[in-house]
Amino acid sequence: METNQKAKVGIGYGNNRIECVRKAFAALGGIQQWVKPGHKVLLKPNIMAAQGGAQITHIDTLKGLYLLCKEAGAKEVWVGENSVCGMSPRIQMGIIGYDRALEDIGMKVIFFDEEDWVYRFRGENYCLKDIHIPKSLVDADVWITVPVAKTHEACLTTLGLKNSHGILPDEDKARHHRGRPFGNSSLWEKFVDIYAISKPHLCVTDMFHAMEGQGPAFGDIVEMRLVVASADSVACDATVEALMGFENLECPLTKIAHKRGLGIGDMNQIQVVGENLLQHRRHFKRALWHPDSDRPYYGIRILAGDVCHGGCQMIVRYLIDLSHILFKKMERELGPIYILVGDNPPPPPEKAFILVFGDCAIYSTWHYQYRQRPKLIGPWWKPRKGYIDVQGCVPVQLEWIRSMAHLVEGYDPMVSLGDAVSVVEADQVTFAEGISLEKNPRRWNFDREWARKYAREIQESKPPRYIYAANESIKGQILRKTDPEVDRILREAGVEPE
Amino acid sequence: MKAEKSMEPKTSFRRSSTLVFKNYSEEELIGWAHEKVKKPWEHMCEVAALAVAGQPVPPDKFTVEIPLTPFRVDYRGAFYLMRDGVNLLVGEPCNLFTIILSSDRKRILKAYIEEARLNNFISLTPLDPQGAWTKKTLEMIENNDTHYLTQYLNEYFQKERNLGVNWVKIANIQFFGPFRDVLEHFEENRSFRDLLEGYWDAIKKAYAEKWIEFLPEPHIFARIREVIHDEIIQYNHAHLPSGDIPEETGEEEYPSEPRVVLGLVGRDYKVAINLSLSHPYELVLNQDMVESYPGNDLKGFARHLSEKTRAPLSLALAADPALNLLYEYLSRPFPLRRMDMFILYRKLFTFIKNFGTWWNLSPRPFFLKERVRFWGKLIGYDITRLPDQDLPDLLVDGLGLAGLSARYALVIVDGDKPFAAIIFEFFDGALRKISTFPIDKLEPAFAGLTKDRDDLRERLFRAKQIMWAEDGWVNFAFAVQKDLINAIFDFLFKRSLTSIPKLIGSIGDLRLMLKLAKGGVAMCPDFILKRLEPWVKKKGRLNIYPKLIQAAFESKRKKPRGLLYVRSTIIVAVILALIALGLIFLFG
Repeated sequence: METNQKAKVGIGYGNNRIECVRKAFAALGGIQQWVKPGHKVLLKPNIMAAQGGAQITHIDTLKGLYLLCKEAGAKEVWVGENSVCGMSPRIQMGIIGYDRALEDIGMKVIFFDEEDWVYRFRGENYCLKDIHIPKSLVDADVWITVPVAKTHEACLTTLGLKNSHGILPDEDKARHHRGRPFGNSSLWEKFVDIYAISKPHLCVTDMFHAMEGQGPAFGDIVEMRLVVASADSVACDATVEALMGFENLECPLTKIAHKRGLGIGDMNQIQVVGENLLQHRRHFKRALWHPDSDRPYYGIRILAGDVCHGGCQMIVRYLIDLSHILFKKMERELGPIYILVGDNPPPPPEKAFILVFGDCAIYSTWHYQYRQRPKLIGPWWKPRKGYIDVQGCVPVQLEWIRSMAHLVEGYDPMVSLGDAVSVVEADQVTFAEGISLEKNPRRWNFDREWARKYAREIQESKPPRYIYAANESIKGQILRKTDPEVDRILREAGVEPE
Repeated sequence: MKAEKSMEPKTSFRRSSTLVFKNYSEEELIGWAHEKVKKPWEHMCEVAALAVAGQPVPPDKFTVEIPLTPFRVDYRGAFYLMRDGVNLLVGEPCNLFTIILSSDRKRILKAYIEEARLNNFISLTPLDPQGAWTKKTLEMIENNDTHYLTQYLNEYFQKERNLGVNWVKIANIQFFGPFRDVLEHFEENRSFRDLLEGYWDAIKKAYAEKWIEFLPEPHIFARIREVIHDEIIQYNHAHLPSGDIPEETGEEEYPSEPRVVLGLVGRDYKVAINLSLSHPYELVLNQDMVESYPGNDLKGFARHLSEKTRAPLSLALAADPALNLLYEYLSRPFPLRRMDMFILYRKLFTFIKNFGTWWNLSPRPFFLKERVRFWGKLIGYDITRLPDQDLPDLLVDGLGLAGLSARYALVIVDGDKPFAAIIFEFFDGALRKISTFPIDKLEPAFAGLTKDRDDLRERLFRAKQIMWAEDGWVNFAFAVQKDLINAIFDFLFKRSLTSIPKLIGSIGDLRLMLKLAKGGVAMCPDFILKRLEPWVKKKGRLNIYPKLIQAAFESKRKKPRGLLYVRSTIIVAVILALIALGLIFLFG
């Protein structure tokens, strides 16, 4: 994209989201520029949890877009969402009732994890060179990313670029989902890589209710009454970030995408139409990533080693935020639970309840006393060890709550009911289950040679004990899609595909 | 017999009638206000002056009318309420300057100074509306520059009369018009529902037309203004049930005895307030009856009120914490935010937790009776162990988990017709708006409804879609059959919870409730309930419910690791030992 050209971003302000969407596109000159009669349009919202409000894209924003697309003559409008760390979109949407409501007004709801996947490769990418994208994304004439404006502890914000992560299958999501904060994080590059492979035609950010503070799940709500739209996702994100009070090119994803020429992220090169940006600009509280730097937390003590912020750090952050709700009473009555996280965490005190979080913590603390001579808890006729492992890299969604529930079973009635979360969880096991740390493929970045070697190993060990081997060749088969590109790599590796 | 009748549940609803406010001339309103507002107010000031001076009040002057309402109070009791409570509602005690303006706001029709002592107004002194202060006052009002009006009048009257003015009330003469209509309508049909609706409309009109202004604005009026301005309550007569509900006369519907009595026990006083809408509209009950109870304990006082008034429920509160709680609610600007809710819930739960010392009631539900509580305490369950510091987090943050901004709809269904639909809007952990939804728009969704829950669920989904199209997205909708609500009210009003024999006798009602609940309640979307069902079955209800109850109480033990098991182990061991001893005794 030519960077000397000004990108156009439309802002709509109103009393409801449908009105805001209309105003934003009216300012841009109408959605007809992109959606033509007979087109099939795919909307990709951000439904990262079965919650309402500012956590997820609101259904009225989707309805507003649906009405606009239909008025422009679109043949079909689809809404597609993917699983989030193991939790199926069918469950997420079912809980909040979006699927049936949207279908009732004439939209088609697509669950990406139940559809076929298409392989995509881009050699110029920095770290994630190949991914799988949903087939419906390819089938659609226009696809629109519809994120909700939120702060994020790993990327400062989660907007259109970050929403692209939601088009990947869980197996791809786990790749490069690591890194250390504010230094050489492959996580940020990875998000931009995904965007580079599959750019949406339009980005429409739901900013009617935005989230500040401990985003993306436990922040505070801010009423902005805005919807921001643009054909350039990078420009759209930059504008939303400006509205959230961030400096120009401060947020990593926008900055990287801008520098790589994938869009315009510099506010000086963006033309904002519809509303005056400065009139609506607010200063959002930022999400803090460090476990103990925010508000006091209850019932848990974090013993952190070297932990990657795209993985366990983020999930532990959720646990801390959840502690306000569940664990306060537990701390007073039971004492805190120690959580070991990351590589080589400090040893926990003796006689404590311990949750060992993630593969790094499990493997790097084998020699610790809590494992060698564990404290026994539970009734005398059925004692159990005083620690529990939460396997995975990273552990799948809500597995940590379930593990916590098992740990305090019989001690804390409220938290021990937490295993009810299993009812909303997918049947998927943790990403790296059954693989020792040395063999955990997510320890390495993409390496074609290594991938070939590993593909052979995996192919020989039938049936594979794990669902994903971080290798595109195996994944293609696991995902029920025989892809010529995958077959080619397998043949190169000396393995005849099935 | 009367007492028995008063216990009957009120299951019928009066037809709602929309009151159309008339236009009155200035003279008409001045004449009406003189009779209906000024005279009762003078009477009240006269009695208050006696009470403040500590002089006896003649028996014929005990009862005074509250201006602009049909209610009466025994001022000997109301005096204490004013003394200790009025500053919570309206701010610090002060002399009030009242200005009544003409309808064009260019003339002052009446002006008064109301002198306050011990938060009670003791005199109402009329002033010359053409005084030296008038010109500047009118200028300020006309220019809408009333910021310094209180200061100006205070300085003026300090100099002239050596009397400070700290509070100014400016009212247009039209302010009285809607209230006159409401009261005259009430005198005709005696409907409290119409009275309350009429008041709400009259207040809304007065604020919308800017007919009343206080300088500075007291808490209670600021809250009312915020509720109106932010449209926190969107209440439409047309959306409410009417038509086929039988009309009843006020005399039949509203008993002559109070149904709920609230007693307040302060440092040096006791007062009883009639919380139910009943004839003859006495808000503060006879002080002689109240003071015939010699003690200051809440338990005895509640029982005394219950016996004397024959009210089905009497509640006794310690005045200081109760008024403080009220102040906490009134002093926070609307709409409330998450942090407000934390504090308010904590105050509320702390109040509830202090059962016995801060509040008591008569008759008490069986679970608050001493004998039941004794056994409950032994196993760790008691109201005094309510986790007042933890429950607010659970409620407020738990609500946030469901959605930081969410709308919930409650649809009450009567047979195959919607009876009422109310939408509750939550924002940032606090209730932001309550609105009614027109039921006629929901009628097609429920037409031909059967008693099957699946059918109700399906109809509810249709109703939810209609609400989405008309009024915005509703996150969760709930439908309840009116019969079920009636059954619950019947159960509660039969005092089933206040005595164990009555509870046992009400098992039939309970079974009826459960039967109705099977086809009479639905939630949409109910995906999560369906997913939870196998989990509940797997865990077992007997496993889950005690845990939930246990979670609602605070353990006094510090760090009781393993003690749960130790305790149950000891109990089992003792039972085994007793059995063994019994066997030895029998056979040995």
